[in-house]
Amino acid sequence: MKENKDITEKEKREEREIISDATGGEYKYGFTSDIDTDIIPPGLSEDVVRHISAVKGEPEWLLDFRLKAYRHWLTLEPPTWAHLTIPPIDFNAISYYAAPTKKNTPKSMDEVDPELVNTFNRLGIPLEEQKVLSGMAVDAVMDSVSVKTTHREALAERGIIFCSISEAVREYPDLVRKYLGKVVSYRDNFYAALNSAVFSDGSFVYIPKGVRCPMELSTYFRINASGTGQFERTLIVADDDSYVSYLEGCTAPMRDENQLHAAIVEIIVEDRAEVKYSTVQNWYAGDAQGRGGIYNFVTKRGLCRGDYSKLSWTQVETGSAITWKYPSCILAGEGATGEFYSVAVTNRLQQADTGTKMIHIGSNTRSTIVSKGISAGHSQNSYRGMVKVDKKAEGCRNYTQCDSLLLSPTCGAHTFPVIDVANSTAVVEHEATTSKISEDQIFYCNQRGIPTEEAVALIVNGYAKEVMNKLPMEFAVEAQKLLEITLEGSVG
Amino acid sequence: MSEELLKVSNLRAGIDGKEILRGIDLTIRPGEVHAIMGPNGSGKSTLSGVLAGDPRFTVTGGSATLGGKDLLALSPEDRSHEGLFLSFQYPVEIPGVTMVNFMRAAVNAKRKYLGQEPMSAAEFLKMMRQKRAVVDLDNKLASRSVNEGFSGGEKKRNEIFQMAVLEPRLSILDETDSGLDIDALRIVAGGVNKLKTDNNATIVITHYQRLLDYIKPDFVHILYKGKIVYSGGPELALELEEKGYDWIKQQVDGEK
Amino acid sequence: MTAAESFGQYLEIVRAHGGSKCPKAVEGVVREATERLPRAIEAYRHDPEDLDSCRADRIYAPDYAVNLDGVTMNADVAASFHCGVPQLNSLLCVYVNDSVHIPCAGKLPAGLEIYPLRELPEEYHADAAALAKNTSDSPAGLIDTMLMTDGFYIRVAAGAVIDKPLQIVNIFNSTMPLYTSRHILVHALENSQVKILLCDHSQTPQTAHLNAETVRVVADNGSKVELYDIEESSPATSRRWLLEATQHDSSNLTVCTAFLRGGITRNEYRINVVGDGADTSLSGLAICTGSQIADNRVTLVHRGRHCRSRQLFKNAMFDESTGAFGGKIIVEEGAEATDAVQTNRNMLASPSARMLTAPQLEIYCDDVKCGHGATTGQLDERALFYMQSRGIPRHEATMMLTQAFMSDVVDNISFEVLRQRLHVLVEKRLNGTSGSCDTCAAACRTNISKEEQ
Repeated sequence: MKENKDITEKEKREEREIISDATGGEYKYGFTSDIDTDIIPPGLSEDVVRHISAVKGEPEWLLDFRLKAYRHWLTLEPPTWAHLTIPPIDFNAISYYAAPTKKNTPKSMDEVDPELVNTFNRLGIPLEEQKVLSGMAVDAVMDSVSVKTTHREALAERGIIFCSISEAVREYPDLVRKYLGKVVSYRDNFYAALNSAVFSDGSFVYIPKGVRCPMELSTYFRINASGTGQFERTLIVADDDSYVSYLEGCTAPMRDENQLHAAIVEIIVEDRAEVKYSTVQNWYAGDAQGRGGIYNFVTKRGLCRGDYSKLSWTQVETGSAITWKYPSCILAGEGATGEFYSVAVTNRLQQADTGTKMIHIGSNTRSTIVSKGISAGHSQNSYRGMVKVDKKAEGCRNYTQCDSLLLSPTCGAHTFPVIDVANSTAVVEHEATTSKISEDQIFYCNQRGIPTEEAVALIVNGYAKEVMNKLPMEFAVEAQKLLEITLEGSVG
Repeated sequence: MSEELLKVSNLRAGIDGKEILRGIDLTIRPGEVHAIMGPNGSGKSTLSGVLAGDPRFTVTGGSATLGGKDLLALSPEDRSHEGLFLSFQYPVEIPGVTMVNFMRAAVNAKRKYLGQEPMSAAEFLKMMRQKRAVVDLDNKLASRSVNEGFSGGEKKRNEIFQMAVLEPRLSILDETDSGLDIDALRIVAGGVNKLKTDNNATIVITHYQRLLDYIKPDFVHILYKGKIVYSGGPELALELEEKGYDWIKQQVDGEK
Repeated sequence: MTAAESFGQYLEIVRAHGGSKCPKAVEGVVREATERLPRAIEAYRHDPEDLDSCRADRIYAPDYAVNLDGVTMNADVAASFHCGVPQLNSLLCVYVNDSVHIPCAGKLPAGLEIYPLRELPEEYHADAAALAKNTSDSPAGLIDTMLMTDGFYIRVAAGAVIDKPLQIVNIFNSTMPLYTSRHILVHALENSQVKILLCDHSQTPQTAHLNAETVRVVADNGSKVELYDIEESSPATSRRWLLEATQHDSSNLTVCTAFLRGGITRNEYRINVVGDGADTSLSGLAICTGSQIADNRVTLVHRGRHCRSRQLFKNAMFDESTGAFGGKIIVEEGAEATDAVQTNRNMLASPSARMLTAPQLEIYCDDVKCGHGATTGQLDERALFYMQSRGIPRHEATMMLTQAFMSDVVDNISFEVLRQRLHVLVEKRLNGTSGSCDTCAAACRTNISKEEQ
């Protein structure tokens, strides 16, 4: 008996070693680029807000919006309700604007800083249009500024606007002014107020009535400069009967310091329009000791204003030291549909508190939530969600399934849903499970000659499949690889 | 024999804004057995649902009376009290409600409607025993939840058992033969025949002739596209069995 | 006045009175709670967005009297009470407002001891103090401890199996609004077994009553404790019920609460499973009409290994009632092979009813099987139509289906006489007739039919 016990102990030790090997794996995107950057000195004040606005040559109304947001921000405290341990952030130690020095939007690839092109090529983001075979239009955001948007002419033919938000402010001020801050008010929360005051750039998308966007639109975010935060803002408007699929990817270099990413995504979906928003988040997560990594504090929300409109969020979260993010749907139109599909993987000392809100205001609105949490190492992974059915919303349906998979004895997996139903015709269902990765499954794989590491990857991929299937093809492959890299051998 | 038990005139009804019944006329007198046949989707189950007051359907026109009373103005329970019984195509399972409690509530509600005193427990149990014999229903089923875990045959026998207890003036058997093997079919049909009197009437809704070998109809109606397109005697069912529904479809669609 | 202001007033009243007259055994506990109270009140934040917070304001709105000197209420009231559970043949204890009566004192079976805290033998003082200790920072809870003028101490000797159920009848009888702080301390020693039934009644249903009852249980190794609670009070009652239980190795705790009548009820369950191989079963049902509020909050902490827990809570909400369920399962690091399941099912039967659910899992151990399911919906329309088509009026069909909806909670009760009785009480509640009044000489007659209009 004793001997057997020793073997088990030994096996366990080996397993632990496999984990530490895997968790010690290098962050593939952790290079920095040697690019000339304009950085304003750290600190936040009304002057900084005015400076950002002036640098960008913004109209008076936008400066006003920023200042209102800034003044409101001063009255707020950072939120503490999440299941996260956030070290105090010195908001005056952050530089609120960093831009690659090329001032004007490049007209052709020749004008783009070659090092910048190189950076994005290393990320696998095709900036050069002749290389774009995947049929994807890309807006690349480096630090604070949108550097290049591809495929614009092809989109323009159909009346689709896809450009940086700074450019949109100049070219389509009425559209931006009509929608900016309408879904996520600057009063919404601490980080939304901060973003509204200092947002630097981001993407703007407008799909006109009846137009199906012929290609995936994509933004890649990269934080490059040190000591900076990134505060981008995305605004997507899908007019009646239109359709668009939008992808967002993120990376950052490895640095010892924590960098703040506080973005806002606002989406407006009109009658019978459909927006699919997919994210593969792979910000630098910090090293094995938990040094460095991105604080990803993001407010994402869509307003399904139109009747029979549909908004679908899909996210694969593998990066960031701390994630605080709840992509939500306000289902205001009759028969509107909201979806949230999420895979959140945490390892080492990562912390994630993520989930969604489905607010049913319109009658016969439907929502589906599928959340798959995978925790390994010493990480803490929480699902937080709210399903609310308004008193006047008749015939609403929600189905929530939220599963957690635990890969180590030292990690945590938590579920915090709130369900508030004030209409008696609603049917709301919530199911959640938390379990360890099945030893039987691993053994079965082992017996068939599959090493434990691969077995875990296989099982986890199978577990996350329901969500991965929702991603567009180009992203699904990348997401699956990321999942494997993050978790190789993480069996406890 | 000449008074009308059920009179349906130009009845129109639908579901979710889609019209399914497009003007049904049907008169049934006590002692009669009517068969309503028709291809899938012709509106057979809609007709039975509308007569019983199924809230899924909306009546858009026409009238229906039972013993001279405006059926369409009554709640489903009052239609039952007035003597209308629907044997469901898919009897509903009600977990947690025992058959005994269910039937006692039904019997006493009817007695109350008729201004009678509620039945004593002993009387009620005695009646249950008697009525069970009609369809040879297992005593064990009575203590179980309504239809929960019943086999297809048991469910249908349970329907006829309830019919026996409630003693309706007009019974509508909606596809009672579906999902039954030959033995169960015989028992169910035998039950229906035992309950037949000169004062009550039966509507048998079916897709196949099979059930009509056991429950002999006096009249056969063919429902197609929400209308009764053909009425005749028992020979019409045999003709259908032989030729199928296509000749009806051709004839009706051809007329247009 | 807000709840926070009320808290401050109770503290002032007690201070002005030079403290309340508390039993000697728990002096230290009461002093400690009183000392911590000012800071707890300071830390208390009113949040207008929070349902709890708003409710607290409502609960503390009446100007309740408090019985600081522990004046004993007439025991005749207790004598006139007859149990609504026939054939129960229980060992009867009575709380009249906040005075303890033990009519069964002379008839206790071997192994069972029951004392009023005021008359507790010296040898049990330390045990009672350990049981009564209030570790929470809730100002409301600390005030309850501060106001402790008496309570029950129940001790089940090692190995003793008490077959006869122990019943504690809580009776409210007062013509002025009253805050009663009730305390029940239960210590089940090794391998002992005991069943306790609590029931709430109001003989003066028009009078506002703040019924604060704290039940603290320690279940030693191998013990088995069953606790049942039936609330049949009045709409003028606000109830705060707290069960705090600690479970040691292989202990077994079964709890079932039934909210049948009342005003605002909040039942809080804090269960600490510290031992290995323990089994916990928590269940509750609430049938709410009028503007009633029923709120069940569970915090179940698994520290021991190989433990199993099951929770089943059901709410049926009529009229303008509000229901809430908050369930938190915490599995601590090292609590291997925990198997925890929580189920919450709710039915909204009226357009103005509301249900708030927050089932939560906090898992810090990987070798676990945990799950929760929560649904909010309505009765099956097909079943309703089927029943109507058999002549059962819609209203009656609704009641029958609601009763069926609740039946699995009741069926969970292994204590047969009580299970049967509770089925009847639920049925009577749904039929609108008063449950116990036909057998109860106290004849408090909560006017249920009026409530349901």
